[in-house]
Parts: sequence; structure tokens; C-alpha cells
Amino acid sequence: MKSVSLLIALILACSVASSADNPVLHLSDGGFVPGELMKSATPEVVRWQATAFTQPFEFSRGAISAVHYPRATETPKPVGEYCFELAAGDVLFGDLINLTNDHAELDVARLGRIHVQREHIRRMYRWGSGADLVYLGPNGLVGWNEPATIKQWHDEGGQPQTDKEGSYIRGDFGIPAQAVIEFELFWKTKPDFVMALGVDDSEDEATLKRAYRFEIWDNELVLRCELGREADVDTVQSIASGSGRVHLVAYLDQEKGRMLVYSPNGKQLSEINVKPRKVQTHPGIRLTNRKGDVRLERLRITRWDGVPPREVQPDKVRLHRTDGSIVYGQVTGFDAQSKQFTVTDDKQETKFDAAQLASAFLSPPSEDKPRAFRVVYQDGTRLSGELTEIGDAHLRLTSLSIREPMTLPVAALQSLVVLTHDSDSSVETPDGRSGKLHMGGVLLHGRLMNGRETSDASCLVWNPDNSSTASPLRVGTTGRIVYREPPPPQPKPTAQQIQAQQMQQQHGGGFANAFLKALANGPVQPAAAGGRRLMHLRSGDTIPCDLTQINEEGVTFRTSMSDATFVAHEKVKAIELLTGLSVPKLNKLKQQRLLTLPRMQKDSPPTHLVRSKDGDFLRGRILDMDDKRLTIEIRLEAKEIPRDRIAQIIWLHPDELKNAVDDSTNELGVVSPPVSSSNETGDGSSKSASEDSSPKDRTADAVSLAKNPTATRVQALRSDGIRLTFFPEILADKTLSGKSDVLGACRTELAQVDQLLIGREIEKAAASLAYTKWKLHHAIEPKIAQDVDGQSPDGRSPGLDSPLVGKPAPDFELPLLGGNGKKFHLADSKGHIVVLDFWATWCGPCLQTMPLVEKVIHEFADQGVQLVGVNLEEQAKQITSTMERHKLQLTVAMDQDGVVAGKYEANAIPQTVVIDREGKIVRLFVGGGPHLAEQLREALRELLDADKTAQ
Amino acid sequence: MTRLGILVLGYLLSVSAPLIAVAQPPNARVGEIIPRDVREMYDRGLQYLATTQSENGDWVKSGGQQGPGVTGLGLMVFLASGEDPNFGLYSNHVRKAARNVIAGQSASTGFFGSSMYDHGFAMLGLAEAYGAVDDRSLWPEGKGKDQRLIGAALELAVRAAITSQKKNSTGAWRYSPDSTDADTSVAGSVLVGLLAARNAGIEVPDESIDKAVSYFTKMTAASGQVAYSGGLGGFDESMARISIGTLVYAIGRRKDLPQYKATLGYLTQRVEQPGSPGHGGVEYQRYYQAQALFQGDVEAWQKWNKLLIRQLKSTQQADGSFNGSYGAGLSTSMSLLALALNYRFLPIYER
Repeated sequence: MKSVSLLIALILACSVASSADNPVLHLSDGGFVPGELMKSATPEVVRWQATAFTQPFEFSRGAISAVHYPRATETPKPVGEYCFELAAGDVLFGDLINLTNDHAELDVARLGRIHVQREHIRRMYRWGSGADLVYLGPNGLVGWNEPATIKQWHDEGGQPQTDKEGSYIRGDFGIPAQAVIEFELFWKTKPDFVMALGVDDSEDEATLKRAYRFEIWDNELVLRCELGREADVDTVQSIASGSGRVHLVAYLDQEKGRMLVYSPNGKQLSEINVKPRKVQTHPGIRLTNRKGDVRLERLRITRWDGVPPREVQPDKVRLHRTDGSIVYGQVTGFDAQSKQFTVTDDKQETKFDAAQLASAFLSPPSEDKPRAFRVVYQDGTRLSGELTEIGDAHLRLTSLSIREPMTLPVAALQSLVVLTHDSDSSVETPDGRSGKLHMGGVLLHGRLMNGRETSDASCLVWNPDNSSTASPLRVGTTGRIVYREPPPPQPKPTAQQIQAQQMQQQHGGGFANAFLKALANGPVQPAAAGGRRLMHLRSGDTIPCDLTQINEEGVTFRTSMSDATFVAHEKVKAIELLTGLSVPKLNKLKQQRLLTLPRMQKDSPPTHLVRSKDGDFLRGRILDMDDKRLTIEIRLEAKEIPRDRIAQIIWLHPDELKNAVDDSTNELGVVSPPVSSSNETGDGSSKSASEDSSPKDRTADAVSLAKNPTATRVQALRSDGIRLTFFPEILADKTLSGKSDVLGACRTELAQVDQLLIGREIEKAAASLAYTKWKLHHAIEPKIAQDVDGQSPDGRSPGLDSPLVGKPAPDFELPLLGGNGKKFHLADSKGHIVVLDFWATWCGPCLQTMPLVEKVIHEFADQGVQLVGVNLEEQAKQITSTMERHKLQLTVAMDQDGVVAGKYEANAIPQTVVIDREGKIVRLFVGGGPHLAEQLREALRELLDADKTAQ
Repeated sequence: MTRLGILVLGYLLSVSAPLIAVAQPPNARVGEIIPRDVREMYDRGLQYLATTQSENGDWVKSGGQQGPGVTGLGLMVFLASGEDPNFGLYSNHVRKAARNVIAGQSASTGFFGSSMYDHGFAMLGLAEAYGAVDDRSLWPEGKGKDQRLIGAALELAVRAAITSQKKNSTGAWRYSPDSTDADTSVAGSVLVGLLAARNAGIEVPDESIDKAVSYFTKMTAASGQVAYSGGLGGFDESMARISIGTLVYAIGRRKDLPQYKATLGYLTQRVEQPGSPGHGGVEYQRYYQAQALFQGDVEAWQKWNKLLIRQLKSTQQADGSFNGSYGAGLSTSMSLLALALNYRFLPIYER
């Protein structure tokens, strides 16, 4: 599960990274393509130079959903004293120059002096250059994460939207401990959402429970929160059925566990209080669509001083002063000189300083006229209106609210959003089979047009839907064109289904037969249908052919598809000698066993796996094969097998084996053995022509047919099951023609193609094909062989691998050699460092190791280090004579029945155990060897140093 | 004489020595066809050695180990090719190498080069050349007193080896001619050299051979493993030393020994396994393993040989050489000599 989410994160990271540098054009049909906006002759046409294509597309404007620009690393903050909220959701930042009953004159960065219709200004508030602003959006799905791999939320005019049940988006927007969160949600059919404020980044449902949530209960919007044993619920407002929206301002204090909810014009609607047990601030928001649909249209997060807003008469135009007081009345004037507002209420005129103004409600909301186009800047400025020109680096826009036509720079844009989609402007669809082009960060519905390969443009020419122009793909791009989606994977049969199947089959064929069939593990049954023998290449190619011969160089065949007759071994993956076969299915354990390479064959791995008609497998090296018999070398002996016994041959390539070693780490969770030095010359200095490239490169070479890496390469997946890789040269008459490395000249009608893989996508797809998974892996090396140079392969210091390390040393009492009945009792040695050396006289390595150990202990003798040799199950006489011969002088405890060796898991000797003063095992070395002395010395020094520090 | 390369000699070669290659009866050419890739590999290797041999006959140019022993092995590669050593393609290379080996011998002691390894392999090289190379015109006329003929040099060398052995209480040899201890690797090279000289008709006392063989039996464990030097026998697996053991018992005509059965058994049971060379590089292992298996069990050798061909094929360099721990010159010679069992032209390969 963890790995899955990690994978998702990776995919997300990748997709973000690939499209991060370029703006992305989003089409109404769900397509998207990164590129650059180009100057166009008419604003009805959006010219788009996509990065993966050589020529610009010309989309009708109505087919465009939006253009989203990459987000700057730091969000630019708008300048100006005030923020003006206009009709239709437009937002401007600037200084107020003049205010009359008719219009307001503003000074706005990018636009200069403009005149805004007074009745289109909903509200203005002191901005102070955005000191309190935390987040202003939304900007499409930027900043939101969706956990599902299949995207269920999409960007609708810059606003996240979904109609998928149970889907959610989550984002970290840095909600401070005390915050004002203003949001607006819209739904077309029926609302059933959860808007949760203050969530963390976990997938845990508990985080959702703890959050401050707006939820729909029947026909009410309620507010709720549960913290520990405390919970609170309050109604916000009732919700009518059908399409609707809510626009709310929430004052959230996560420290005090309090949230107040107001309508945008200042009426308090709801309040909840839960006392948090421990103060935690969660910065995120999660929006879940339980049923129906929902769209997030507005989200603004600002810092809050914690003082609740005063009660207001919400329907009246008014001014809020910085001290919190409210003045009801119409703002009738502004004197730029004296910086004073004039407010008129019941003909009474009052003036007050602009510095005292917090916000002013200038006109009550009214129905907005729909706008055709919206421009959103990264600083939060939003303008909507009619697009009149698309220039090189600017746009021209006219707005109902603003008197002057506007010239808007493209720089610092966040989004361009097309709001109305008139169907008249659609482009005539050219002839051709329609499909979907998928590339990294690209999805385009459309069709292939005629084309011819040149040095800088592919013969694959794509005409997206609603574009009046087509463009060749750049040479060397990677992707796929899908004409027909592959069928969804069959759900695994349930136990009951299998049982039912078995019952059914029992009537004809007997139980055993049915059982075998159910396991898909029985004899090879040629299927009635199909009627073709297939050859599978490593590149994924599947070619119907009859095998004529196998020799040292490769495979000779006959195919109806071309005159070609030969393919080299390195390209072949499998050949079927019977019709209608499929990839063998074995249970996992059997397959693993079959594909494990014994260590003794490390340097001469079998190269083929032969499957008989009866379902038996044989590993070996095929020497040759003709129409009568197969000669196969098994364990260096040549054997002959009649050809008619053989169903299938799978090639096992040595370079796959090396890869398999890497895989085994992941699959089995064990450290893979070092790759054997198949480099026979010993010191790795060999560099024959074939060895200059790394094994991986060679694989790629063998598989990719990469004769000419600069040419377009495709693999056609045909509906008849044939896969064919070739270098296409020309597309004409709905037929793609080119050259295959194996078959020579070849062609395929697009009408027959389910998918067309392009470039590296071929290898990617081939890697997941069923036959590809049949590859050898090395047997696990024994531990002792991995322990080269006294270093564990994982780089840990030696002597720490045993599970006994860190545990209390098992206590024991044993008679001492020559001790006249005296015994050694480990518990008596508490306070000393004890080294136990398990040995026997018959053990050569023990006798080699013992003097080394003795010498080391001697160095530490005056520091309370004690050496005890624990002899395994031998007679005192024999021990004494050996010790005399080898001039060994050490205390020997006699483990006559091997019980102590058992307690210390001494399955292999010499085993040297270091026990600290507290009686805990700190090191356990097995096998002795030249490095032991230094390792032991190190361990003892470490212990004694620790003593000193403790003192 | 035309190339003999296409056919290999069977088991009909006369055991009586000395042998002159050109004197072999034509009906002796019975056997299997040599695989094409062996011929190609061997020819490319020969080409490499031919082009990198220096004017004075050694392989200094290709770096790595040098000395009369290295030249002696190089000499054997040419002799084993089947080309006529006197008039064939490589006759000049053969003579240059032979002169170089002899020039490296002390005229007074008969000792070749810097160590007894050199002495053993140089002796072997000359023994294989003796009788096959017409040495009447080996040296330019009337020049220098050290211009010994092959037979003379070989006799001198045998005497040096026996003198060294007599000084050594183990009855064998180590690096220095004056060593008092021995190891099975050096001892193997000298003993094989002596056996080859004896096969070539030089007198070698039985006592000398028996003493050396007896040293080997002491160093052979019941498992078949052969120890290196002194101490407790049979601790590790050294396919090189096990092969040396097998080889000296076989060509020393001591196949009756239980130690022979043990060492050979160890090898034949592990034909498929790479095994640990245990001593020197893998090419050293192969050089001896090829001969040991061929002498001991032809069927096992045939299997092992397939593997050898495959492995060498994948490591031969574009210039025909083989890289290895001894430098390209010696590594190439050893690799090719492991392959030369396919031709079976050298007298030492007789069974």
C-alpha cells in the first residue's frame, strides 16, 4: 500500500515536472498539450506551438478550455492600497484616484489609469499590499492533490470540479492558527459535499473528523467538528434542491477550537466551539464530493486577529472602519487631495479619513452578465470580458465594467480561461481514423494525416480535433496513439466461480482434469481458434510464422507477412510450435524454481526453456533444430528430442539474468548476490568490442532495433494480435509503410491498428509483456561467500548480524579443562568483559583463529577482559593433546553435550562471542578468518572507551 | 607441409619420443573436425602473439609478466598450432622464441631466469620444441659461446632442476633454486617440465620424479583438494592446484595412486562449475584444467571444453589477445594453450 502511494507520488511528481516549464493548453474535449501561445490573426483562433510538434496548431477558440501557465516559485504579491471586487468575480488591486456616483477612477499596475463603472464595484477593502493574504485562488488544480491514480477532478474554467462520487482533492494552503477563509461552492445537480478546513496531509480519515467541516445533511448545510470526546454541530443554512451555490466567510481559530461563519455581506450564520486537548494547527483543506457534483469557485485565506466581526445589517451599503465600527450609508465621493471619503445616509453627509477605512460595500450583488473570456494573473488579479486580439506577448481585452480597452501582458499570467463555448466555430473534421494521442503531458484527440519522414519531422502527422492545421511529431518523441482501448483486465474468478467451473467440468473429463484446468497448470491444450504459430521478439513484436530451423546464429522461419526468413537469437523471446498457444502459466513457486539459476551454472546459464506438449519444461542450450529434431545441450551434454514433442521454446538471455538480480532484491526482500564475475579474465580489464557497452546498453540495443535512433520508430498493435515494430517512412492512403529490422519492408493499415506505440514506449510496453517476465534469476549466494574482506555486503560493521547481538548472554555452567571439578559459571563473570570462543580440535579454521584471538585478548588482559574457549563435545585428553601441539594456553570450558553451543546458536565454528560487563552480547563473529583479530580488537576498544566515557 | 589445422590427431600418436611432427603418419589424423570458432579464435590469438613478439623473441611489448618461462609458453602456442615449425608461417617466431629462452639460461648453472616458475615453463617449452624444431640453423653461424642447441640447453636445465631438488628436504621446489621449502604451484611447473624433458628423450632419474610425485601425494587431501605449501592440507578449493596434481600424476604415469583418483574425481564432478582458481588467475586455472581433464577423462574434457570455448569467445579482444591478471602476453598464451588441447599437436598432450 505504501509503495503504491509512493508510486503515485512519483507519477505526480513526474507529470508536474514534465509540464512545469511550459504553459499547458487544455481543450474542452479533455485534451491537453504543453507549448507556447502564438500570435494569431484573429482572436477566434488560438495558435499553439506544442513542444512535441514541429508546426503550430490553430484551434478554434470555442474548443479551448483554458491555458494554464506554470506557477512561479514565489507568488507575486499585487501592489496597491485597495482590492476591488467587481462584478463577475473580477478582482483588481490598485489605488483609488477618484470616486463618483457613476464611476471610480483607479490606478492599477499593468493597466494604468482606468475607469470602472461604479455599479460594478461590489466591495473595496484595504489591501495594504496584501500583508494579511495567505492564499488567493483557486487556480485550477494547482496546489491540490488527488489521491486516485485516475483523475476524477478536472479544471473547469480555472476552478476544480468533479461529478465523481467519493472523490476528493486536498491541498496545503498554509492556513494559520487564526484565519479567515472565504469560499464559494457551486453545484449543477445536487449538493452532497464535505468542505473540511484544517486537515493535515495524511490519508487518515481521523484527520477529517478532527477538521472543521461543512457538510450537507439532507437539505441543510451544517458545520461540525469532533475533537477527542468533544464535538459540536450547528446549522449554517438550508439548501434548496437543484443547482445552487454557497458563499461563506469562516473565521477559524484552531487554537481555541472555534469557528464563526458569516455570509459575505457580514451576517453571522453559525458558530461551533470544541475545546482542543492539545493545540494543533493543520494547514490544509480537503473537499470531498460524496454525491452529485461540486465546483470550488473561490478560495481566499487571510490572517485574522481573532476579534470576531461586529454584527451588521447585511443588506445595507456601508463602510467598516479599521476600529471595527460600522457606518451605514452610500459612499458618494472621495477627495484624492484630502484623502477623505464622503458618506451619505438619509441626506446626512459625513466625511472621514481614508486611513480609517477597512472595507466598503459599494453596491449590492446583482445578476452578472456572462463574460466570454477571463484572464488570471499569478498575483490574483482577475479580469473578464471579450478577447479582441492575441499578440506576440500581449492580449487585448474589453470589459463591461471598465471603460478603456485593456492591453494585457502575457508575462506573469496564471490562466487564460474561455468561459463561453459557441458551437458555431468548430472546425471541419478531416478524413481519417480518429484516435487519442498520449505522450508525456499530452493528450490529444484527433487523427493521423498523410506524412513523410524527413530528418527533422516524423511521418506521423497529427491533426487534433478542432484544429484547422496538422503538425508532424518531432523525431524521437515517445508516446502512443490509441484507436481502440484494450479490454479491461478480467476480474479474477471468485472461489465460488472456480468451484462451479470445476463442478461443470467434472461431468466431462473427471475431477483431476478439472482441477488441473482450474489451476491453468495442466498439459498444453492447443486452442481450437487462432490457427497461427507465433514468434515473439524481445521488442514485443508478435509475428505469425512457421519455424524452419534454429542454428547457432538464429532462427529461420517462413511468414506470410514478408519474404524475410531470418532473425538473430538476441532478438527472439519465444516461439510457438503449435497453434493457439499462450504464455505458460505456472504457480508462482514453480515458476520461481524453474527460473532460478543454480550457483554452479552461474557462468554457463541455460539459454532456452523448452516446453513439451505435455507441459513439461526443460532448460538447456539449443544447438540446432530442423524439421525432425531439436538438439539441446543439457549440462554440457547434447541431447536430441523429436521436434513433434515440442510445444514452445522460450529464450533466456544472459543480459536478462543480470537484470533479474536487481529485481530479486525487490521481490524477495533479500540482498542480491554480487553479480558473478563472468568476466573470465579475472581482473575485469577485458574490453572486447562486444563488452565495451554495459550489459544494460546491450539489452537496449538488442531490443530497440536502434539502428537509427534519430528516426521515428513505431510498434503497431493490430487487432488480429500481431505486433510489428518498424521505422515508418510514409503515411498515405490510411496505410503506414516502412522498414522492419526483421521483416524488411512492411506496411500496416491504420484501420487494423488498435494502438500505435511510438519510440521508447515500445520498450516500456515490451517490458510488461507476459513472455518478457520469463527470465532467469540467480540463486541466493550463501552468506559466507558474500562476506568478502570481512565486510558485510551492506556495509555494516561485522559481528552484528546475529539476532543474538544486543540480547542478554544465555547463562551457563560448564566444567573447566584440567580444573579438577572446577566449573566456569558465566554469571560469576559479571563486571568483566567475556569473550567466548567456540571451537573443536577437528576444526582447522578454529585452530588458525584461536592464536589470533588469544593474542588480542592478551593485549587487553589488564583491563578485565576474559577469554574462555568453549570446546564442543570432545574428550579432555584429545583437547589437551591438541592444545599442547599447538602451544595454546587458554581457559577451556567443556561443552560436552553441546547444550551451550545450542544456546549460542553456534551452528558453525569458530564462533567468537563478545559479552559486555552487563552480560549482554555485543558481537558475534562466525568463521574466524584473517580479519577477525582487527574486528575483535575494535569491538573491545569500543567497549572500553564506553566504560571510560561512563566514568 | 600443409596445415594440419582441419583435423585433430586421435589417440594413435606414438608414445615413443622424441617425436618429429612432420614424421607423423598421415593415417594418424583421425578425429573430430575442429570447431570453426576454435580455429578462428586460435588464429586470431596467434596473430596477436606474432605481431607483438619483439625482435629478440620475447613479449615485452604486450606488458605484464616476462621471462624465459613466459617466452617458453609463447613458443608452445606456435608449436601447438600445427603450422610447420621449420618452414611454416610462424617458423621465424618459433626460432626467435627458442633463442630467447636459451639466452635466458645461465651457462654455468643451467637455471632459467628469475624463478623456478620460469625454469619449469622454459624447460617445458624447450622440451616441446626439441626434435620438432630443426636447430641446426637456430643461431647465426659462428657467433657467441652461449649459443646452445635445444637439446644441450634442455640437458643443462634438467640438471639444474635436479640439483635444486636435492638441496630441498621436501623433494620439490619453490621460487628460488636454493629454497628449502616448496609449494605445489612452482613444483608443478618444474615437475611437468622434467616429465616433458624425459618424454623428449633427456635422461631424468626416476628417483627425482618419484620424490616430486611423493611430495604431491603428501599435499593431496582425501577430498582431492591440493594444498599450497606446508601446513594442513586441503583447506580451500584451488582448481588450479587440483589440476596440477591430476596432471603430474597422469603424465608421471602414476594413475594408480588414490590421490590421482581423488583429484581427477574432484575435477570431473565439477566440470560445469567455475570453481575457485585459488591460485593465480583464471587463465592459469584453465591452462592446467584443460590438460588435467584431457589426460584424465576425455568425456569430461569434451564437456568442459565447450564451456571454455564459449567463455573465451566472449572475452577475446578485437586484436586477438586475452586480458588477464598476468598481462596480455602471458594471459593470451595460457588461454590459447588451454584451447590447444583441441589440436593435440604437442607431445605433452599425449595420453
